[in-house]
Amino acid sequence: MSATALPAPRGISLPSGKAVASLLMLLPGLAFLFAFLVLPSLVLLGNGFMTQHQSGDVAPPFSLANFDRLLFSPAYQRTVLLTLKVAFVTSGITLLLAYPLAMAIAYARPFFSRLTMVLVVAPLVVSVLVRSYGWQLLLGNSRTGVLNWLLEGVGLGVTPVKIMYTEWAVVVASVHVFLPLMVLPIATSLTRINPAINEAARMLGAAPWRAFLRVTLPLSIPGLTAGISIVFSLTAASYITPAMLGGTRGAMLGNLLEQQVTTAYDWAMGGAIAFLMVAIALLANFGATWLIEYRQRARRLASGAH
Amino acid sequence: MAAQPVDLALSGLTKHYGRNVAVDSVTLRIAAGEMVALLGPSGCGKTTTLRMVAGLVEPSAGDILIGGTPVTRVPVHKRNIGMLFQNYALFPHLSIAQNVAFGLQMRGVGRAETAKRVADALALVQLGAFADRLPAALSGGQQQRVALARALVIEPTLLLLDEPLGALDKNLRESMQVELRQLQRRLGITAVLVTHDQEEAMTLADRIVIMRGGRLEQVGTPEEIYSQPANRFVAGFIGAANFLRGTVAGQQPDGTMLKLAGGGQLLVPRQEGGAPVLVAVRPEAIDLSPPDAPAPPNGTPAVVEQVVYRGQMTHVYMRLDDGEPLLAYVANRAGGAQGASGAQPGDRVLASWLPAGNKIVADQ
Amino acid sequence: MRGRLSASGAVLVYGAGALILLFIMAPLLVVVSLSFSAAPFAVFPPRGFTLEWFGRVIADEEFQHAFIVSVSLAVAATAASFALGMPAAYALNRWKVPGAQVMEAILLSPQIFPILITGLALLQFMARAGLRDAEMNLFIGHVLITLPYLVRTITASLKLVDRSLEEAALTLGASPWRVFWLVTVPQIIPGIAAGCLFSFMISFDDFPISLWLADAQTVPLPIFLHSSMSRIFDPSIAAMSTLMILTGVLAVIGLEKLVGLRRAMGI
Repeated sequence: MSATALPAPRGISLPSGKAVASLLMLLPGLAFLFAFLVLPSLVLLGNGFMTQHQSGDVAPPFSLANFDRLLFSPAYQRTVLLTLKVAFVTSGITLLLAYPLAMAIAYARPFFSRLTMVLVVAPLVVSVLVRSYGWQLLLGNSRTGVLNWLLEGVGLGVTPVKIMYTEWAVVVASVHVFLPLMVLPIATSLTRINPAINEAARMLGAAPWRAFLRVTLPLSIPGLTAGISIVFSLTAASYITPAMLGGTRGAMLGNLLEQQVTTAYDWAMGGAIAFLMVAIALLANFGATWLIEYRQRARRLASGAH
Repeated sequence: MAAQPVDLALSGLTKHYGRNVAVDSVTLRIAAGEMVALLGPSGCGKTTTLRMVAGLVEPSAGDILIGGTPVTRVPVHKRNIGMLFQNYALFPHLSIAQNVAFGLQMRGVGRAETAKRVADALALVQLGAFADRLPAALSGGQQQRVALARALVIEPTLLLLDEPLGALDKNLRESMQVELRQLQRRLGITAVLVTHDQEEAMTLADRIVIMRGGRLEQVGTPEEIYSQPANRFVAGFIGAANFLRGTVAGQQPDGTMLKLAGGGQLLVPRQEGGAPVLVAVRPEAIDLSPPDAPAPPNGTPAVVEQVVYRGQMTHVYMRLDDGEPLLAYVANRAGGAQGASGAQPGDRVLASWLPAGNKIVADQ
Repeated sequence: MRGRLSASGAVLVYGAGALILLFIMAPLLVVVSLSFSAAPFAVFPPRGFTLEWFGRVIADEEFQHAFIVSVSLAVAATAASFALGMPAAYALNRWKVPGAQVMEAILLSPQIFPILITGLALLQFMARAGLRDAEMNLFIGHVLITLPYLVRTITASLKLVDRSLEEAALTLGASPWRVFWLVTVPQIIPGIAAGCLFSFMISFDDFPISLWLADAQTVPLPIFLHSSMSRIFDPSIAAMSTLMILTGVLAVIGLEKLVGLRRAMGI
């Protein structure tokens, strides 16, 4: 044993074998994403700040004209607002439908829980294209649509329901497409709540619905927020569902983008639309994360524990 | 803080899960202000019994009466029973004060009165300074005290405790046991405790109920259960016990002489008939003496196998000549292990005890 | 059982749940029912019963080609994503890498990025670089959407590994490399297999990436199906859709058998 103390280790250490190895293991994946996602996206989104020339090139001068047109000209603005409205309404309806299913997955006997899980997840691995086709058949405006056929069958179909090729058809199908992505995070949240907490609320005199409102619901907020942000951002970015069910009345930003680059060849406008779509997706995701963390931090601060 | 103490009666209380009988026709009366511990190995039905009293499990048959009123069909939230859970079950999203106020809000108690009663309840468990914190900021012991305040503030008719101290470490558990006991006595509230820890049951309870396989094995004060175990299971479950099987060798004026297969003899209260008799002997009753001492009227020769020094006691593990084990606790009054007479593994000794140490138990 | 629903609550929740499950199954059931319809148009209600449409679809060379394109694309993209994602997930989870959180966020980022734009950006980028090989571009695009799923499932599997088993093996004298193969790998294989299966389905079902990157020669199944929808109005569209539904059902059964759906979905 040496009598003198060893010098304290410095903050920077030489790269160990593990550090080099981990870098080598991470590099391919990160480089791939940088080359084929980050870089191309920056180019595409950058288009939005430039000008479309007759030659087909997108080049300077830099301007915000595309965004000005997208956000303030009536035709484009209508699509932007419709996209936000459809995403908003879809998230809300999905939330209402997802909660009972999540409760069934979290609380039902093992057999029913598994059955619900299978039926909820199964559509997730069926192409959105196929599911939208199913809704085309279901919502057809004439008597050949399943819904109208059913309504006529029970004597309610005096005039056929005409929601096909409107934003409402898009909402119905989007709710269907994204429902599993709302159910899963809520079910995860619910299964993480200690059952004794709900029992404690009941023992303290809370009727079932009050225990739900005061205890279960607040404790499932992280799952709710995650589900809402996923469904909102994916609905706002969808293409195939509005293309098949929305017609011209229900066209959303994705359809506008496709039309700009394949029909109008306006890549500058396309870049601006892409920029807006990415901004909505990122805001929905980071906004939700931030909100959850902010709530937790606020509560910790209020509780005096740092 | 508690309402007028009331008694609790269980009558033929039964719970089936499919073909499994978790609780089998339990009948029990708990006096007003009494604290009773349900004690038994896991799966004995003690937790299910408690949860039926709470209203969290619906009985298959039988009745629960609180203060003479049947509550079997009353839903959980209308029973007005306080409960402590093993993992505290505090609402993680509510502050300490909000946790304690919860039950009062459910009862529609006014704002001012709620605030006052919450403050009183928190003062009772000495946590007034923590009112605005979240449960996660408190230690386990503090959390359980909050849970206690939350359970008591609603002036419950009964207090149920489901392994309430199981998650705490040993020292904290012991001080909480004392605290809990004092509080329950002071408030005079009728309480039922579920535990698998015999020391906890003996420290806290006025009476202990030993359960096995959904049935009651024995009900009595801690002293009765320990000194007069009804059967082999109870004797083995509460404290340690040696079990010796003897055959009647002859009648004497003061009792019956039993002969052990290993060579010893025991004097027990008078036995009729020739069936073998099972005798339980507590390890601390046994004295050890050298093999050349005069043969005791109540004892057996044995060979020492292992000697374990445990501070207050030395545990001496022995074997009789027929291969049966025998354990003696020898008190170390001066701190050293001299109480065990320096017995070494391999030594032959005479184990003897007073005839009063012989407890005849049913072999079940 | 510690059910947390009161009797009336259970009726409400399960009743609503049953209706919502009907809503979930309805469009799929309509499609499947029409695929057996003997009527010349895909119109509800189905009439009669025939397997003719399935026969026609399976015999169609274009369909066969699209199916092969989609399967090979999904296999190749999953394999490449695994090759990129497995070492990255391992390094992030097992070794203290500076900035691990940021790197993990980057690896998972394609999940929150609108897929339509991932595909369009790649199309524009490749076109400008003069790389017009549709097969290669589709492959790269599909790796982009499958990589985050694999990173996520591998990470989840690694987190579930019982580290004390690895430590026990080390104290018994196994080298770190042998510990990895003999102790770690057997524990993570079901989770990884489930991740690969899910990744396969993500690629197999994809529309918005292929929309941009497919050309006339290389047509994945969803693109073929979509273009058929505007040309054909008989139930063969429903039959093709049913075949895709069947693939999904098989995948779900596979997931349930491999690790159980709840674990596969992280509940």
